[in-house]
Amino acid sequence: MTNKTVAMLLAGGQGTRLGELTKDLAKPAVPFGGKYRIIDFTMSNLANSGISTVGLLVQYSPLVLNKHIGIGKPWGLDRQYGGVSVLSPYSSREGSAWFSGTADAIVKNLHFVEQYDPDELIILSGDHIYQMDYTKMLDFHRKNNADATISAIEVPYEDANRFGILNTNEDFSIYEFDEKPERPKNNLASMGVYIFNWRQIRPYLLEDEKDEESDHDFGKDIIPKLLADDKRLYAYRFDGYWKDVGTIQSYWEANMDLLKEDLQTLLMSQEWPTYPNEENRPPEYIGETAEINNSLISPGAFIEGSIDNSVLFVGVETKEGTKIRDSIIFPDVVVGSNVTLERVIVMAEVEIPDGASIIASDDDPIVISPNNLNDYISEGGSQNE
Amino acid sequence: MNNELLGIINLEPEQDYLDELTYFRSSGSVPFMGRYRLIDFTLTNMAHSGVNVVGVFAGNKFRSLLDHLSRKEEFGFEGKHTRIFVLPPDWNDPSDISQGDLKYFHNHADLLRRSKADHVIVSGTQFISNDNYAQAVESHRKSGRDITFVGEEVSGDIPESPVLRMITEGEDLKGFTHDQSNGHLYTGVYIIKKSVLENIVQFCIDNYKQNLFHHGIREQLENYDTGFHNIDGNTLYFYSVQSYFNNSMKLLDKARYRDFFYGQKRVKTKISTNPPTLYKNGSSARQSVVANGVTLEGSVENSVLSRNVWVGKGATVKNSIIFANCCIEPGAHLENVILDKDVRITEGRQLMGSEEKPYVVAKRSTI
Repeated sequence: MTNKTVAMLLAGGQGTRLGELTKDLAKPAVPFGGKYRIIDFTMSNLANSGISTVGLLVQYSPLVLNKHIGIGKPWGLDRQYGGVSVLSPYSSREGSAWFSGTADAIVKNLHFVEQYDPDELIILSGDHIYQMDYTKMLDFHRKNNADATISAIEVPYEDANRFGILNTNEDFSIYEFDEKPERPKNNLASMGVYIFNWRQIRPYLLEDEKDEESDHDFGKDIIPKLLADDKRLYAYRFDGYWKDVGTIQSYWEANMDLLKEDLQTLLMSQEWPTYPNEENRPPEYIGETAEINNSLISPGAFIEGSIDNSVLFVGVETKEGTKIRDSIIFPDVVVGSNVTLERVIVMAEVEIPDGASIIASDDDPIVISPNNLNDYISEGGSQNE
Repeated sequence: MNNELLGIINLEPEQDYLDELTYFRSSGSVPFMGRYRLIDFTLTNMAHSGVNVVGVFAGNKFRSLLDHLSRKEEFGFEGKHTRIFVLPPDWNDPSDISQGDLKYFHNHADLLRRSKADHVIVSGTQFISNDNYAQAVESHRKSGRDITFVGEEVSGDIPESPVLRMITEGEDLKGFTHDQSNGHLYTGVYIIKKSVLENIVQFCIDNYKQNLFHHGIREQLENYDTGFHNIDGNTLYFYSVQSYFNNSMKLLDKARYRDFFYGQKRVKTKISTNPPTLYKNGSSARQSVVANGVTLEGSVENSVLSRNVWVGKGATVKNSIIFANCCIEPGAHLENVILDKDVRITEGRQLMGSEEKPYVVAKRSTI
């Protein structure tokens, strides 16, 4: 029964490494894939998995995120019982405090979870791009009679030192959690998706809250304590696409992945649809001079010029003679005529004047915002700082 | 006095007029320009004109209409005091002697009875515009007239069409005509005092009349204080498959498309979720309107593609209108064609209509 499962979706992170993209915006609310925001993938996973009680933990710059989620209508989470509840830091008679870690955020919302008296608590991140059926992971968790189940994905051994690595026995029971190991023994990386037996985890959370040395983090603090007490921890192996869009480079790559033949189910799947908070915009208009190759175009766009290997969001206008390649163009951007853009991310509502040329060098793609537009135009492109 | 305004969209008199396109659907739910249905334009314009409650006289084939209009907020009918009532043919009164569209006015009389509005705006869906009726409503209210007809003054070449023309004298409306040299077109929209409308309904029923507009209003004009208001903006009239095709082609002009769909008061429609359009390597699209969920591998020129259409490699679509979920297999060639929903064009098949007479393929066929 999925009603006995409460999902807590962590969406308060700052996403510092996304630079300009998260200057005034929570990372999960960063636009993605033409008409989506990053969090839509997790929200759609919840909708498709039939998990209907969701606490959304917000903190950093939540205005757009709050409006985007609303009462959860696009994901069928506008429910009489359960549904989505936006949980922000608050003040009470005991005082007021920000969420200081992932586990702390849950403890500060204990009263939310306890309303539902759940069997399982599922902890999710709002900043990953993946399509996952949480019910399969729940089945695995229940079959093993586990206290905690951590979903994990195989990563190349050379990258394993960037992840929390799960060292497991043959039956996928976890004997060790290795946070960013120098010499990894395994290549199963934690995806930051946890299922906990609520009654088992509850005392650990409360105890950790009292520990002033703790960072109140699931990976760093809670999991090691559970392991130390010989609790039943299992790794749930996930096969499929999963991307943590932590940096501008990985954000750009994840968008470009949508254009790859074998990854098009990320948006196109009929069985596991990804739901945006759709706007009421007219179909795009493709003009007389348009040449479009391997690109995604969204409603409300007016397209002229050549568009190659790019993702264009709603309401984008491009004019004659313009060449856009390997780029991501956010909503309502106007690209003038005879402009050249390569490997750039143009933020919402920026107007690129006629004749401008901005080409990113081989390293990170350039993020063009209203603040730095003129600098880049005079330089013709340069490294991101 | 209050500011409420009741809307009636009367689809009864316009059934079946688009041949194959209206075999299985009501005139209001005929798809248009990729993601809309004709009724969207009338509904949105009413919302923008201050209408808070709309009754839709649905005619027989109302299934698609019920689905389409199931969430009123998406059409701009927001807040606690708005409603869209889709009113199907539902005749239960054993003493009912009403006929034609009067049956709707009689059997759904609660719509008028319960409304607090003093005025009613009545429209069909055979006329659409990017201008709304707010000014017409204001002028009607100020004038104190019984009925204000919404018209349009065409200058220059007057198009030949079955659209009614208005005979006016000063600010009064004196009659209607089919005189093709008269450029004062009648849009089919009128604003009427509710009390007057109720009287006309009763008059029509008592006298076994079958058409409220023609028998109760047009033939009785001298009994009422009637004026007109001309609207600005782009207008389109639908009266045949040919006119439907031409109107679509007209909107493929970039400036006109922008003007029609990008005003402040944008037309709204049912929100459904589809991924952005995917233009694959080797595809080509020119001067076309393409809805989301389309996957394009072939070539499209001067055409309208609705949601979830697939155009295979080497297929060409020219001067055509493709409804949702159609599948155009590799190497097929379409020109001056309208494909209704769920049509499959098999590999290498060629279909050509003419500009004067587009070839229409009925829903769910495989060719």
